[in-house]
Amino acid sequence: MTVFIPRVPGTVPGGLGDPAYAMRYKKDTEPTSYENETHSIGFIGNANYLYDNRYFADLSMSYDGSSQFGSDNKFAPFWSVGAGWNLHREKFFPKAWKVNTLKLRYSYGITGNQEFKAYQAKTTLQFMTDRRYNTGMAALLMGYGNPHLKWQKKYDSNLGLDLVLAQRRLSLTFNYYNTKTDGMLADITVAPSVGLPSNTFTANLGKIRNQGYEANILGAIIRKPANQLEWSVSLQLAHNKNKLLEISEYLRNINNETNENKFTPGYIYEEGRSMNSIFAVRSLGIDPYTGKEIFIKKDGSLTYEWNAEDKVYCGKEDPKLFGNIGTNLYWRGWNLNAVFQFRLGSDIYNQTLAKRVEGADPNMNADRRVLNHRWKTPGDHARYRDIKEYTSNYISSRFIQRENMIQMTNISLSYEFDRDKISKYKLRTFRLSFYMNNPFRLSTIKEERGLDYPFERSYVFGLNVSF
Amino acid sequence: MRTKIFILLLAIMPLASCNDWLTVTPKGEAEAEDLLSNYSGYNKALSGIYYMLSSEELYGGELTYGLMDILGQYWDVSLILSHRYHEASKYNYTDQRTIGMIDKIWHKMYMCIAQCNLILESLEHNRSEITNSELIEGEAYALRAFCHMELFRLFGPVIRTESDLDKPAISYRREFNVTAQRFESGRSVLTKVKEDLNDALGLLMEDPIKTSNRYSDLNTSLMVYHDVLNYRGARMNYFGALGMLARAEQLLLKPDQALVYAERIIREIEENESGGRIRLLERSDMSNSDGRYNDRIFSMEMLFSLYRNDLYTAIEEVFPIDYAHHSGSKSLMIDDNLFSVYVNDVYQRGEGHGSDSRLKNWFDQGSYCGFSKMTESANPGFTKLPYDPEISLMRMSEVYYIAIESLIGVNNIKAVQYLNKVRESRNLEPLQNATYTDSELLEQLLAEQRKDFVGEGRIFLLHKRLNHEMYVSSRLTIQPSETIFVFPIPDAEYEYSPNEKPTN
Repeated sequence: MTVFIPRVPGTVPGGLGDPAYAMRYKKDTEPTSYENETHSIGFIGNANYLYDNRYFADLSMSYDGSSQFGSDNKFAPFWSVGAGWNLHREKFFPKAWKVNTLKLRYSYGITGNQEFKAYQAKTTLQFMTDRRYNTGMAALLMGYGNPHLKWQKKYDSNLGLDLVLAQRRLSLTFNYYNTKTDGMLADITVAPSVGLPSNTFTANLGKIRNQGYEANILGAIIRKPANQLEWSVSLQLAHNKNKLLEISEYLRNINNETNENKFTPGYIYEEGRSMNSIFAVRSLGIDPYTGKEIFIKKDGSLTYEWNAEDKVYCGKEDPKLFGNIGTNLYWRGWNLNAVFQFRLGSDIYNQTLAKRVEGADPNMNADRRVLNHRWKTPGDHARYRDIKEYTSNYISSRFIQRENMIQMTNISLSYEFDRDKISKYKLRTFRLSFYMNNPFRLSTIKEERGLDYPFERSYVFGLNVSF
Repeated sequence: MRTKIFILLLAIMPLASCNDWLTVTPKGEAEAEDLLSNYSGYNKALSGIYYMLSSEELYGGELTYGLMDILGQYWDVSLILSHRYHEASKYNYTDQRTIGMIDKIWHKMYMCIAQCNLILESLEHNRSEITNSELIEGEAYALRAFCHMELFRLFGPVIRTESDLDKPAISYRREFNVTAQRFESGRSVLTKVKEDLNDALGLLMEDPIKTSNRYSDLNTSLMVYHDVLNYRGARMNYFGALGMLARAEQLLLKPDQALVYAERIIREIEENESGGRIRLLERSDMSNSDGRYNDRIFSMEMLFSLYRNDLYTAIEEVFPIDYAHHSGSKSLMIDDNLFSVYVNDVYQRGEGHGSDSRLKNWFDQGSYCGFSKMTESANPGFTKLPYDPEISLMRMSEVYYIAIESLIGVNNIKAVQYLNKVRESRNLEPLQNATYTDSELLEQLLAEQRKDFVGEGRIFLLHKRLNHEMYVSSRLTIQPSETIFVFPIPDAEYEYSPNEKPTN
């Protein structure tokens, strides 16, 4: 029960008629209220066309308005067109190929005005309800409104192929996509000294293109229902190429700051490069005579002195190819399932080497490489610098390594007893299972996993019984 | 089979005046442009800064009786390992709980600064239309200076010589934007502090606090209510800005300039004829034998205070009325040992401690000792309670202490005169003029401040400024060092600003 007394010093003129702003209320209570009002309006249209089950086309459009969008532009248009062709239904298609489905697809669409909320474009303050300052109501800065914020627009095109073969035992889906995002919205983190309550604000990052393909293959290699035997394998493959076509002013500023980093490479954004590029000063390795690192300056000359100005593009974290392999074998109640994950051709800045091998204090417990591979006396052809050097090491291309990795994500084995045989014990199902995650991992680089949170491997034995 | 399928779907909602329909301002929030278009909005935005300053994480706790007085060694939590201040009391600034408190201080102080900048930038466009805009703008300038100076005192280096003033310290933000700035030297920060304070003084020339009571409400209408006209003592006012200038000169190693400001304050408050003006405590103020009816926090002395509406509730939790209400990890307790340190060491037994108004009124002596400097007063049935839930940020005694410190080695006789004025007001016998050396006089000055500032978070930063050993008791002191005096700047600041963390 709340009592709202509007005529007391400091109550809020100007329509804050919400009980939470009352200055006095029943003893030991505090009114709270919640309100969220949004208005929206929409126009949508949709058309489909199908001809003889061979050709099809569709068109969809929408025009949405919402109060959640910024105050200058409240409408978000969207449209897409698509077309397809069922090749396998054509008369000229050879029946002898035993193709169940062969379909070609193409679509193109634009999503405009990806929503950002009004407070992201306008600076707002929030009225505090838990406490006043003496009799005064307090309003606190809530969010920084970025006056340069503009709508995000996304252009999608997609070319696809669906193929089903051999009495539907083998199916393949292939997609090629090209997505361009103009004015991509992102939350930018700022220093706490900027004084924003959340330490973030919303900005446009620029124009980004993602281009790539995905393939899905699913095959039943053995299928013998009579023998209760089936073995199937699935493969998912993907490749994505990320490219910054244009970067915004904010991103340029972030670059300037990140560029000055000496010890930990942050992301540096350069037009024409991936968003996940690594910039470092090129290195020739450790000088056998001095134990110091030799750097290559931007102009190609050599130096012992590290300078942030000499950072160049040295690789990107995006893998050339990544995906999953899954396999399942079933035979008379036994089921064996395994999932693998792989990632090929990504460049990684190996923090373990930088911080735990070169940055390690050899008087403490450390990686074996600290002892074996660090420079000790003149003439040593060592991979890591002078063992007597304790200072933090600079961002150097020496720590960038090419990673090819495959790991078994999990494996499980189970056995389910025949239902007919157990029914006399009044059991409906009786199933034993064993599960293990991360049984093994093969990688071309050695990195510590679980530096902050311990890496864990679990084994689970299970017994499922239902009556 | 040949088929054609065609579907069209169209949904339309009310079309009339679409843009109005789509404009919703959520209640409880306001766009800065709208809020800062009239006097009432500016008052709320300014109250927002005081609201934040008086919060538990800043002067409503950590920067006064909490973290700061732990570091000042007033409270003893050395045997309570689970206490939230246990690691802080050992100056362990790598402890996560302590880091959490320190990071919040940094962030919230800069949030206050951002709001000052928002108010100041907005006033550029409409100050002529805003009633009392001089007070609003003057307070915002002085608060911006105050917050920066406090950040410098906490996070900046120890200043022993002129060259220490050239070391990088913190950034001084004067614009409302999202660009992180480079750290500036202490000299540069403090020069800007003085500029802002002088701008503030110019705007606060007509501050009503110069002619009226510090707690008066000068509003004549509840319908058109100006928060800036109510209780000027609990806002950044003309005298507060002058006091801050004196502090800035001390930090800049300019004691002669600090003295000029201190004596100016002493002179100018005497020009105020009103009965409830700011003044030093008098013996008669503490005449009631039951401390609960006295103005125990000496509120008449406060040049600049913060009003924390829920102060008494918070104080009850931290300084409970008896053992049963103690929480092992949060409360601060004065046990027999600590109380005897207060009686014998802090309040200097043998030098008239028994009559000291502070010892008598702030500590409930008996089988259990509660710290009652800031507890709620008993309502004697008068219209005005003896005091309000205020947190002192600068009081009259400090003005005298600044003057005394400046006079040591220059005019010791006058220094002792000023010190005796404070001592007498606290019901102590005057020091005999005789023959104090400079360093003896400084020790006397520190001892007097130690008695005054318990619960006010001042003593730690005083020792930092003087790079003086921390006093725990007559048998124990802690050596001064950068390690204990300098707060670590949050890691996030280094990560997202052009400043890189210094490596050892």
